[in-house]
Amino acid sequence: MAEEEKETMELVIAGYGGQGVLTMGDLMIKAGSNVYKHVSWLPSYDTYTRGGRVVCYVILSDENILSPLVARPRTLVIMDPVAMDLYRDCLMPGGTLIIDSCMVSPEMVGREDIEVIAVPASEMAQSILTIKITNLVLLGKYLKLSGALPLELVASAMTKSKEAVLKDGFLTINQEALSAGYNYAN
Amino acid sequence: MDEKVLLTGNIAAAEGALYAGCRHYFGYPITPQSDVVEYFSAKLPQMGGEFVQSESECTSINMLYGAAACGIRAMTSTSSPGFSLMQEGISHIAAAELPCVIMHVQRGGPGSGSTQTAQMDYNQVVKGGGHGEYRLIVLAPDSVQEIFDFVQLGFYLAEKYRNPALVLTDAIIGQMKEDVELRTIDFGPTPEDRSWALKIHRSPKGKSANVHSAVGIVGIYNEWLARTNEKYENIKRDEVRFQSMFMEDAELAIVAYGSSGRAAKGACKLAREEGLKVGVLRPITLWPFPQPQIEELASRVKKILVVEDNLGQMVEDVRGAVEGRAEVHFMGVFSRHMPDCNGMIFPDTILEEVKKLL
Repeated sequence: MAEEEKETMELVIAGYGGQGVLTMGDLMIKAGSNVYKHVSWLPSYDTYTRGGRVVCYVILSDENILSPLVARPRTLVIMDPVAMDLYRDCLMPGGTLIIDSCMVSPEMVGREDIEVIAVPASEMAQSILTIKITNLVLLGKYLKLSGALPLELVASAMTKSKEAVLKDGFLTINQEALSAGYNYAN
Repeated sequence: MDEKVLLTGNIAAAEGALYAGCRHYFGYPITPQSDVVEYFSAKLPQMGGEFVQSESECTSINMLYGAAACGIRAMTSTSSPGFSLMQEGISHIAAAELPCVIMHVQRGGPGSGSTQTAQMDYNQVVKGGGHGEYRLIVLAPDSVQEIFDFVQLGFYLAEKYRNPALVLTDAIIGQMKEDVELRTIDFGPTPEDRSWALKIHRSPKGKSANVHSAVGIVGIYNEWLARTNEKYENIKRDEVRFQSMFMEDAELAIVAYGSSGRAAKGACKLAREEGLKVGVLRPITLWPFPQPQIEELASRVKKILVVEDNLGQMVEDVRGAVEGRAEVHFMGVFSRHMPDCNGMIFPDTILEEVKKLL
């Protein structure tokens, strides 16, 4: 039986170094390579470990990925105000913008032709344990909205990463953050 | 079954070398290729190999010279400023006709430039950045899989012709992750005569090879020139590689290599979806340059658009092959999506240019 070709998922995530922008993308392709025929992950970052501009382009597709660059994403995740200024215009009209509303005010968006999903991700992460897991809250929300990948698959991808040396407790907290974002209702 | 894994282009380069049996690596960390150095430093000691982090790229290339002179598979890797430091050594290795592989992950220049992506070292790599008359076999992959494959191919070609081979990537394809199928590729046998390589002789009567780069002082200059010229002509005749996409009925051809080749293929697909007759010719070997293929292209299409992330380098070779028989247009660094060093040339921008030209 021929498997039905799945819709290609293109995602752009932007923020600054240390927020986990690249880790979000990495989890997507780790989980995504089990479901899609092709995946690509392209990082672009400044020469600082923390604080520089970071953007990550992720594609999950059953078709050959010709270019890993995504000029007009249908979904964009923005994690800080500078990224908002730099990337808000690339989002396709009718597209979905997911923001951490603790970092970026929805009033900043200034576009009427897109859907804005405001998630108080930093606060949610802090209430679980630490703002370091804000990225996973946002990733959870993206998974719910896009249906790109099952939540469980992404949660289990965390155990396969080299950070799996994380103590069990941290893994649970990471997965809790992912679920919190997934289940967050606007 | 072959193993399929997610790797960055840089790690795929290191794995490609390991799959090709390379157990000797000398290098110095520089963004955006530092992870190659890091990976070898962890892997090679476990595999009984030798990893040396040199004090500079000047040393890396001379360590590689020494290893190559012994006839073993050895490699170095670097990025643009480091590659400049290697030029003297590369010229000597080419003069001594030694096989080895150099991995070059381009970043923006000149000087210390930027740590972001660029394709500004085409001329230096293809025309020879060191002194004298020599050529490197230059392979330009456009995917993580090709990086893995071409490092292996590089070792094969280097040994087949006793000439250094260079694999040219950039910060985009060096740092991106994709699926890679890991397997050793059999390109066929390499020359059996290895009498040129240095050996340890237990008996004082053992016949020694003599590796040197003083081709016009120790050796007979004309013999060296004739021999290497014949070798270069053979490589030009037999080793040109390129990828052609949608060229059958194309009215406009995009010529681009490496990461720009990826963007060009993306643009070509978008153009075809709109019914525009656009094709792509992607040089895979930058030397030997696919000159005959581009000559032939010039008789079939009216317009050629060269896309490269620089101020216009390969476009000169395209113009040379076209010789005025088609319009040659150029799209480069000013078409990046951001005006700073974080900018990249997107498929959509190439499509806009294509529409203006058609």
